[in-house]
Order: sequence, then C-alpha cells, then structure tokens
Amino acid sequence: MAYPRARTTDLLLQSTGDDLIVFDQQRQLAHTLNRTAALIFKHADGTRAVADLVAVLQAELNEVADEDLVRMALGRLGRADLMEHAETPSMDALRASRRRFVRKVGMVGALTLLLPMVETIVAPRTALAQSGDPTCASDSDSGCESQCLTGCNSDSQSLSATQCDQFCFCNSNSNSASNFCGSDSVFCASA
Amino acid sequence: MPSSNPADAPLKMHTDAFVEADALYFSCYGAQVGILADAVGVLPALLDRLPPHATISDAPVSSCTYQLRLTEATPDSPHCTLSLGNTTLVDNVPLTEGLNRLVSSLQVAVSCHAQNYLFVHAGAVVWKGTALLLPGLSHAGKTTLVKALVEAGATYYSDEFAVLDDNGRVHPYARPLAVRDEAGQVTHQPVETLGGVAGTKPVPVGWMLALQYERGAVWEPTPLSAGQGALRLLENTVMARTRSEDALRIFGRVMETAQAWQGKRGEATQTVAALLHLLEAGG
Repeated sequence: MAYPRARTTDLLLQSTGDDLIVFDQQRQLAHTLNRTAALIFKHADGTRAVADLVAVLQAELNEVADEDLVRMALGRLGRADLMEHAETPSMDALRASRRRFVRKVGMVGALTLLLPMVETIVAPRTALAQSGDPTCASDSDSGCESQCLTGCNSDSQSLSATQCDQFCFCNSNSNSASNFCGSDSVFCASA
Repeated sequence: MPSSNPADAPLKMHTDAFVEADALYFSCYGAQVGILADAVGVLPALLDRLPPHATISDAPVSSCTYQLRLTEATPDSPHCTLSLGNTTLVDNVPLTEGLNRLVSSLQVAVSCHAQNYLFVHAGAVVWKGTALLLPGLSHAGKTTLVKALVEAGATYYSDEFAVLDDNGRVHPYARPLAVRDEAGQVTHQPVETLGGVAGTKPVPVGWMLALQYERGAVWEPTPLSAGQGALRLLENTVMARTRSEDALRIFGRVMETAQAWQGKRGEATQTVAALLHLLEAGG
C-alpha cells in the first residue's frame, strides 16, 4: 500500500465536532472517526505516500506524529473496510505500533488523544429500534418493508461494537446473527 | 361509528374476502395511517388510543393500512385477525388483545412513515429550556427515568420516541407513560397524573445520555465525543438504514449543541439527583 487510497463509494460523510461520521451504505455500518483517523481518511487519496500522510498529521495535529501513527490509522480504517485494497494488519501489529507511539510520546493525556479511533456500529434494522412491537409497516407501499423483518435473533440485540471481542454482525442478507469477531474481522479499533 | 365498546360490536364470521364496513384514517407527524374494519362499532374504541398528536382525517389516504376483521361469532368472546398489507400480525385472538396489538403497532407505523421527522428510540424531557435525550432499546429503563425526571420538575416530551426535525430540535411525542410494575404489567399514565406537564414546542437538544441500568451501579458517566454521541443516537434510530442521510445530517446538528455522555446507572431516583447535578454544573 505505497499510496493508500480511502474508499469513496457508497459512503455518506458527516462532520460533527472534531469527528467524522462515515455511513457505509453497502454494509449498513456506521463509523465515527476521531480527528486523526479522519485526517488520514480524507488525505489518503492514492496520491500520498505514508511519509506524506505523516507530514499531514504533523501539520494538522502535532509534530510528534510519525509513521507508526499513520500505520495505526490506516490499519483501523482498513479493518473498518474504509480503504481500497487494504492491507489489514493483525491486531498484534496494531498494538505494537500503538505501544511504540505511546512509548514515544509518553502517557501524556493530550498526546494519547492523537491515537486514531474508529468506532463502528451496525445500523439497526427497524425492528431492533422498537420497543415492544417488532413489526413495522410491512405493506409493500411503504418502502420500509425490507427494514421490518424481525431481524437478528435475541442474542444479538446489542449491536454496538464498542467491545471488539463482542462484536456481533447482523447479516443484512439473512435473519440470522453470527458472531463476526475473529482474528481478521475486528471492526472497532480502539484497542 | 356508533359504539365505543368493542364487546358491543356486531359480530360476523370470517370470510376470505375482506368487506370494509368502517374505516378510520389519521395522520401523525406526516405519517398517514388507515384502519379498515369489517364490522361497525369496533373502531371508536381506538379514538382515544391513537398515537399522540394524531389528527383524524376525512380523506381515505394512507401509506400504511391495517385490516381488522372479526373472526368468531361468540358473543362473550369476540375474536379478530389483524393484518397489515399481506402480513398477518395476529390471527384469531380475543378482540381486546387484537386492539392492544393494533394500538402498539400504530406507534411503530407512525415512527416508520413520519415525513420530515426522524424518530429515535429515546426518552425525552426538557430541563431549563433544553432537551435531554435518553436513547435506549426496550427495557432499558427509559420510562422509569423519564418518570423520575418529570417528578423532579422536567417537562415531559416522550418516554418512547424523540421526534427530531431537520434542525435537530426535538418535538413532543407525549403519549401516556408506559409504566411497568415489578410484575411486568404495564399501565399507561398520562403525565398529568404524575403532576407533570407535557411540552408543546420544539426545543434544541442540550444533552444526550446513553445510560444503561444496572442494579447497584455507581454513577460515573463518561463524556463522549460528538461523533460517538451521534452513533448512540443512530443505533436507536427507527429508520436508520433507509434514512441514513437524514439521520447523519440531523445528528450532526443535534451534536452542535448537545453534550453526550454514557455510563451505567442505578436506581432512577438516585440517578436523577446525580443527573440534575451534572446538568446544573454544565457537564
């Protein structure tokens, strides 16, 4: 990935505060990217090498930004399926980058805020956002028919992916829920 | 619609062909809903059970139409089948149960079909001019907390849906609070019976608190970034998938003014005291 390129298709973007919300219409996932992750996402356009992205972070955030920080961000974005042709680093590799960066900057609060964060949730089916009644209007005129399935089983009511190891992905093409967390499918990247 | 008592409804046997004998149409936040019945005398019982802010409509226009048909000619125990489009919601159940199911489903239908408003599954109250949203799924304890906040002086907006407009302001959806007792029985209590008042005007959101009830939990909420706050709202949004673009835009506006927090909470009365302290301190 000499010139990393972020995905641009089937995504909705919304800036809010320092964060960027990215809604993946293909996978029905919503991500929030903190400032570091958002800067890399915006500037990884296939024309900039990692060194160039380091320079972006140094200019926009802090001079302590380095290649480890950029690779961490690229890794988080790749795991969230927000990069084209992503090299998906292992969690061990990400942790190693994180350790090196933290060691470099020390555990100074403000500087650890530079660490890239990508938090992901599955956009709920309509039924999952209801109380007491799993039925949305299922008439064919409504346009929300596909949203009104009973959806995931009762084990998957909690769809927040704040805990990587408990991430449960509700397959949009079926009514079954499968535990999606594995060694190479960790979406949230706050570890 | 001469009678409001379902038990008095003229009964008829179920036949395959639905023959409309009575109809009720209403609109609510832009959602247009119709209810057709194959007997007269049933629908009046629904008039005071429609979603809050519903307006009865004379025009037979709806984006979502229910069919209620009586299915059993037992005078002591009228039964019914309720369907929506091609989907049967309940089949041959006691009429009272069928009507309860319909009332519940009407709220869902409104939340799905609302036009120009986004429904988020959240309790909502107003405290000193700004709205406090408490997003959460079923049984998250929203009503309990909303009730305690109202009893502490907050203005009631909803125990079920935060209705957001395009500017990120919350509108009232002041249905009677669905208060669950220890046995799990739900009673519907108008806010006035709690000594509270319902809001009438749209209000900007000042606070978004994603709280999860846990017995004995210590109150230690942590602040969320604007993006994280938006995600907490999105994961409780009724039409998150089909209206994702609206949701992102609206939540972006909400988070321009709102502080977002999350954490565990214990009992409602203790939580309210701590929560109001947080609000008074400005976060």
